[in-house]
Amino acid sequence: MEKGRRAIPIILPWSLRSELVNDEVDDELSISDLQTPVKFYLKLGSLAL
Amino acid sequence: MQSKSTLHQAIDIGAWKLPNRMIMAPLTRCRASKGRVPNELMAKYYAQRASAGLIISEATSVSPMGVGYPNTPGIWSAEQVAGWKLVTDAVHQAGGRILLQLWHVGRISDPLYLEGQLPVAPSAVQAQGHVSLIRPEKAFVIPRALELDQIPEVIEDFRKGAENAKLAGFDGVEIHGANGYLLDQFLQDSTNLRTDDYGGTVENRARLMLEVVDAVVSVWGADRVGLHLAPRCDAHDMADSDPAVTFGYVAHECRLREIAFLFVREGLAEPRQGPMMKEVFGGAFIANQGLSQEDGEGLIEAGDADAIAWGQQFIANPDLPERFAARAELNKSRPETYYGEGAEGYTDYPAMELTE
Repeated sequence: MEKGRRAIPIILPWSLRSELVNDEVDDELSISDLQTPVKFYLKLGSLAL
Repeated sequence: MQSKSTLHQAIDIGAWKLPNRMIMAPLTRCRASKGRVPNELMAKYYAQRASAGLIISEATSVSPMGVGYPNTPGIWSAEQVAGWKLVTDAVHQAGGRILLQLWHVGRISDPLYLEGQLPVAPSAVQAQGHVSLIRPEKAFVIPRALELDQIPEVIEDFRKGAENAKLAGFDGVEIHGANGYLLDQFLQDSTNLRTDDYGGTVENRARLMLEVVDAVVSVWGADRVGLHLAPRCDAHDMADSDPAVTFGYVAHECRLREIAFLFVREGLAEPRQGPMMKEVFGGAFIANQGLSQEDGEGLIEAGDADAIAWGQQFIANPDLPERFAARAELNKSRPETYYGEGAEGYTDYPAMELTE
């Protein structure tokens, strides 16, 4: 992201959600039987908003 | 021929006659259409899994203030009821049974999901962590504490959601009292700092949850209502100073109300509250979280559970009961598609005969 430019938070559209890589799936969403805390990693270097 | 395990024994839970004891856990999949309306794709997904003893739907918000994720379904509008009817019809035609899970996220939300409004909670206590599926990552905001005179509105939202679930053709409902969402926020003392009738003692902290139970039972009858709890207090920055007392009290109150079941997401790691809760409750007990087929069979054989719920295994294996019966290999799940778009990773997991 350019210096000094502020990112505006957005709800990810479906097309970008499929870019999410979750090597362990977290409690970010309410999946009932997940055992481990989940962390999502984005491959969204181009998402400068 | 394989002998059938305890998981394949029929059981009556509440008003339902289940052909087996394998429950499909509620699973957020973010596939609802605009307006949070269920659709044909969702109907296909659930119908594929109709051999489960019982399906519990993904968490479904009872009001627009109760949402905290994109494309999760609701049950407050006529369009949503019509969408869910597609789902229940498809499941019933496939021979299955399905409950709707009634949900209010409370503080686990953001003004972006609430048309600019602050999320509501028992108290103005901010959750640590970031809001789901908003990027760049955004911390949870400090929620607005519900005023005392606003609480009846929340109860009415659940009652109306239960009524709409009936119109939509469900076989019953499960109340989401777990995972750090609104009812859990009221129940646990790290998030409930109120000094009125809804805070302080365990009786007061459990009051909203139990008033919601009573409201929903008034629509369905106790034998078609279940309650989902997470006594490990391990989701969404939750904590309680005495889980045994807190969850034991809720189990006891549910016993008095004779609701159909408790669904307890806890796993097998010690310390566990489940065995105590099962004994205090005395009714059907559904165990969940990270269990293998052998774990599930063992819990039922030992009398520690009446049925077992699986989540990720049902995502990847629409015919999980048949696979367990054959002790067949399971499909591997693809977590990167859990909350993705369309049919990929949703309705394209093959059934057993197509795999061989």
